[in-house]
Amino acid sequence: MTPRQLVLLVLLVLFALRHDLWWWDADDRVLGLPIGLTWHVLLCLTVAVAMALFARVDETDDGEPS
Amino acid sequence: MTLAIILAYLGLVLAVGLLSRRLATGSGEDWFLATRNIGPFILLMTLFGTHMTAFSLLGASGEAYRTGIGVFALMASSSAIIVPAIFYFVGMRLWRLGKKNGYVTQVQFFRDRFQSSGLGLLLFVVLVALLIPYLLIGVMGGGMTLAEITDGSVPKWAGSLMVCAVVMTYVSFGGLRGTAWANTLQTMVFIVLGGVTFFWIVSRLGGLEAALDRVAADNPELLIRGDRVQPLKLLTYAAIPMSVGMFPHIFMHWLTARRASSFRLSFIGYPLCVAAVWLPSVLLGVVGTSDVPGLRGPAANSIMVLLIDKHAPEILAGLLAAGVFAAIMSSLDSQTLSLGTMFTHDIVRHYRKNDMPEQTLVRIGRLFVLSLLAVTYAISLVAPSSIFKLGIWSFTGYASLLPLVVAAIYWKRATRGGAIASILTVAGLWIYFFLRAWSVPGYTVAGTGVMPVAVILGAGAMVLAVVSMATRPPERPVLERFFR
Repeated sequence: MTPRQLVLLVLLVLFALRHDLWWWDADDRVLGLPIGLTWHVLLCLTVAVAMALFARVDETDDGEPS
Repeated sequence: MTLAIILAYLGLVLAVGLLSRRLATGSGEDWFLATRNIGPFILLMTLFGTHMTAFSLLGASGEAYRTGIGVFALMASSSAIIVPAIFYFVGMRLWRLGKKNGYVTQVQFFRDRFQSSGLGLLLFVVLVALLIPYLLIGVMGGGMTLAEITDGSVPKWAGSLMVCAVVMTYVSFGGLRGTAWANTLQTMVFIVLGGVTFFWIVSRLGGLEAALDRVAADNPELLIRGDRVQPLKLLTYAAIPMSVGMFPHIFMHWLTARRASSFRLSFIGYPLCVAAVWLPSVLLGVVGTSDVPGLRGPAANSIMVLLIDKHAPEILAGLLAAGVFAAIMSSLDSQTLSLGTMFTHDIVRHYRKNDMPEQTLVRIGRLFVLSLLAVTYAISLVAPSSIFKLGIWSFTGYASLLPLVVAAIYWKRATRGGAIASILTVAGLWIYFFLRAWSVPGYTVAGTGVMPVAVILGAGAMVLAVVSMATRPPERPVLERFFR
């Protein structure tokens, strides 16, 4: 699997997790926020971490274009 | 006091925009593209500031007041996933092609990729038509916000005029470099001030836990999605942030990156910036339902201003107004400049047979920016406030064109015929849904929760694929300039 394919896969998984039907009517609070909100804030943070870990930039792009 | 803070802020933005001229080389490429030399931090701040509008501060809290926490899932987390993906898969690739083939505008790229001047003209018309209402919303939003925060002592026309005059000055003199610098300042301002406003108000309400307890007692349905957000709407709303892939002003900023690795901070930092701006706005809208109950319809969009009036000192009202101006101007400047760049390159330079000196192009660009803002300002004085509904339609149009750019850079078999058919399909369906939905609040396709953008985007992609397969493939020498 190429790095680009890995990034695509990770983002697709996170996109699927965005549709949190399982919290739809839950009113518990986690980290001080309603769980339906906490989940999505954590999702934003996870996207940042995932991009930092997996999204490699091809440095050959820096020089003469292919 | 409020007005003094706003004037001081506008002066600061102007100074930063004009100061950037010291680094300018004076060339056309510097005015239009900052010599393709923007580093990671300024690129992130510029892209984020350009993409976010005043809606993320005021509109989001109004929407949360009406709908509850589901607004964050609907609008923010979709952007946090989709936008970095588009920066990574589309933006970096377009940057590389732009650097290799010397593009300045989207239309130049599409004309070259599909070898069609007519396709370029068609796309120019569509892109400009979708951007003009967006400009108008920014200019009118500035005037309305200032009038509201100052309780009408500064009329709408004066606020709109201030926004236009400041943007016109630093865009005309500083070009894209001035715009990028001013955007960086403005993005930092609205991120920080949104957070300050949130902490101040929530502390006055006895802390977040106490404020949410009051909402749980008064309006518990706002703390869950319930039936206020339909699952299909959550799914299809994700198509809206795809518009970032076709915005002319975002394309222009992509091309300014110094190197491919300059993008790295943008696709890591963007989702963090989204959370930092949207979480306070959504929470303030939700807790506002208990503190300022009874706002109906568009009146809910004033919730943040009302909370400040009730709980914060005047200085915070002034700072919030500065933050809103920052959010408005950081989009307006890039949109105006991108239209100026498109007009000079895609129309004037393209259709003039003889070569034109770069300095003449810059002069034409400046004149166009000046004229465009003057006309936009004049229209803003007479346009009805229902024009704000056009915002989502502007996003819908751009998002529906995303398959075009994805096919252009990833699918060798995409053809001129497929591209033209796709643009015409998108335009036709956009008009159809626009006419159906205009007078129906919260319209979704047949009431299913499916947003029109999902249907238009899907149809555009399908037509592009079918017509491309049915027409002659592009010539090999052309493809070699776009694919490794």
